[in-house]
Amino acid sequence: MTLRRAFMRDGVKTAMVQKAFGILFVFVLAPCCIGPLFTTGMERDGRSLSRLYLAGFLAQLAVFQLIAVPVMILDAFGMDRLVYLTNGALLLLMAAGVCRAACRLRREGLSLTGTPGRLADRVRQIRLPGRTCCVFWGIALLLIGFQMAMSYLYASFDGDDAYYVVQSVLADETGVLNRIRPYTGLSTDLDIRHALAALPLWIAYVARMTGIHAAIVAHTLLPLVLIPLTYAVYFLIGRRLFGAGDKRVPLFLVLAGLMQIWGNTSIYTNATFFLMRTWQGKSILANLVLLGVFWLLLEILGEEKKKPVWGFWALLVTANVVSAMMTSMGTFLAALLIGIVGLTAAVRQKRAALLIRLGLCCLPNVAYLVLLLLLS
Amino acid sequence: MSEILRIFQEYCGSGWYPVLFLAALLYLLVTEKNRTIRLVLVESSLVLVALFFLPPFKALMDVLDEGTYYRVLWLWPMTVGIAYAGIKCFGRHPRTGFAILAAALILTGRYTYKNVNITRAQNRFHIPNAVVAICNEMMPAEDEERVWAVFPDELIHYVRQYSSEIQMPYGREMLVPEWTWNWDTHPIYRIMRVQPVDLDALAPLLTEYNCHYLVLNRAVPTTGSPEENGLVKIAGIEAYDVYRNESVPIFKKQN
Repeated sequence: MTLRRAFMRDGVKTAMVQKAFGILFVFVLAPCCIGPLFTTGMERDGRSLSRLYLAGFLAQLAVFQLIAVPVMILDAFGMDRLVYLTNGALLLLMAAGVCRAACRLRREGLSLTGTPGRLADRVRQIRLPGRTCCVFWGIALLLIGFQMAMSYLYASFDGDDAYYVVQSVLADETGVLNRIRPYTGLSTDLDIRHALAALPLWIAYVARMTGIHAAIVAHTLLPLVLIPLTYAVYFLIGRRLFGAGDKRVPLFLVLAGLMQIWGNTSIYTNATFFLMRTWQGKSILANLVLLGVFWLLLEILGEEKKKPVWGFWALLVTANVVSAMMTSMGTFLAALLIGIVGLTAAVRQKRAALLIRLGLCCLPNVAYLVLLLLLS
Repeated sequence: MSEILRIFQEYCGSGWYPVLFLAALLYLLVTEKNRTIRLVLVESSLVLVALFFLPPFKALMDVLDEGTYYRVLWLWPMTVGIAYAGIKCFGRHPRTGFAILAAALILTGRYTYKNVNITRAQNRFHIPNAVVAICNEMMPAEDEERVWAVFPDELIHYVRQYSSEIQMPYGREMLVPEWTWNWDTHPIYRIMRVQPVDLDALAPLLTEYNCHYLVLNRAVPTTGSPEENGLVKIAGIEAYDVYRNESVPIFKKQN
């Protein structure tokens, strides 16, 4: 009997509890508890919930990808096993993250503001932004809220859903991992080119954890998480470009929002993918993962040469694993971006060591490309 | 090279954001002083721009994944580049600058929510209500095996997003003419795509392929009698009639 059916047996109340607990676990507790494992040393410009959540969310996806690929190859009926192993790994990482955060807070005198000192003093030091800045923040939040509301209230037709969303539905309802033809329902061999990108299985995992139908998870729930998360990355980039607390950061977010809302100039643009195919791997790659890699490159190259912040590097490796989860070409595109920036830095700033380190971060991409070539 | 230019033009479509991005890069190339931003946002982007227009690079990408070269354009940080350059350009006049930039972006772009593929959601599945109702009508009981059904073209994409309990003799692969290896190869589809639908020819094939149900759009004309061909109408849902092919039994699950 599947996990889902076992939970559903006890009626609507249990289903509601499962939905609430599942959403809380997958989208709140896991990212927020795993995040502190990565954010050590990143606090030069203050703590940031966006950074913590992004790190935890990407780490959660990467853990799933690392577990899903071997399980999928070795066990055709492995959905239950995948759920158990993923939850086990996430719980371990969450415990490690909480311990790490607790140790740091203790060391820093239980301060929530990044440096030792009394919380009340810190609160008094907070400066409210000016009127113009507040207006731009208001517009930015309105634009983000508008896109989230539209993603919930409006449906976007895309033919690829007949493949990807159905793979999620199949994994959730039958427990079979990528061995059923989505279009018809007939049995088939593992299609390794699509199968190595395990995002549809992650959607099935979310469906199992929450008891929500996989199509609802993909079309309705995920956009409500992915849209604000993508803007959180824009926020981090804005902070890096203009400086933390700069009044131009909200203006940057507003312009980014306008370019998404008015970016449907063809079927190929990232904005089109972002708002019309938000739940698909290609969209998450183009709008969240590559953007995250871009932010990490800004941070890494902005580091002092002798003080590398290992959290950024670890997060870059994590993002590379996640790129493989989104689409088979994702590994190559992420590595290409990192390689171009690394080469440019090596030539322009004579930083060959940086290129080598960036190359080492791309080892997961190489591994996935080799796996793809060997198995397909 | 002409192929690359065609891909670039198709990516731009009716908009000007890539052109604005190239203008932003040139502006930042002249004005940007911060070493890191210059390197990551400006110089690396210029390399990516040059690389995209290099035919040997396209040849390499085609070896890896043919037909997806436009995705290299996703590496151009267009949104970040345009927004950053715009804000820098109007740095001392944020409100005037914002008005000009917003107008430029709106006028040179296209509103996503006017796209014909975006419609008001009928439920949280984001699947038409008709599909949900039809699938519920033919859903096998807990102790029954999965069923097979033939649907009209416009519903095919949605059926299995709702339930894996309903299987189809052919699916989306039959609807995409570019997929020449699949398109138009299934004998049932060859009948279903022609108007009027010939029920006398269709019914024996439904039985041959073990299809339990047939869904027809009432607006599509048919020839032949459903009843005489063993098709019993069990429901009329919105614009569709659902028929049960009584020649094919629904089997019980074997424990």
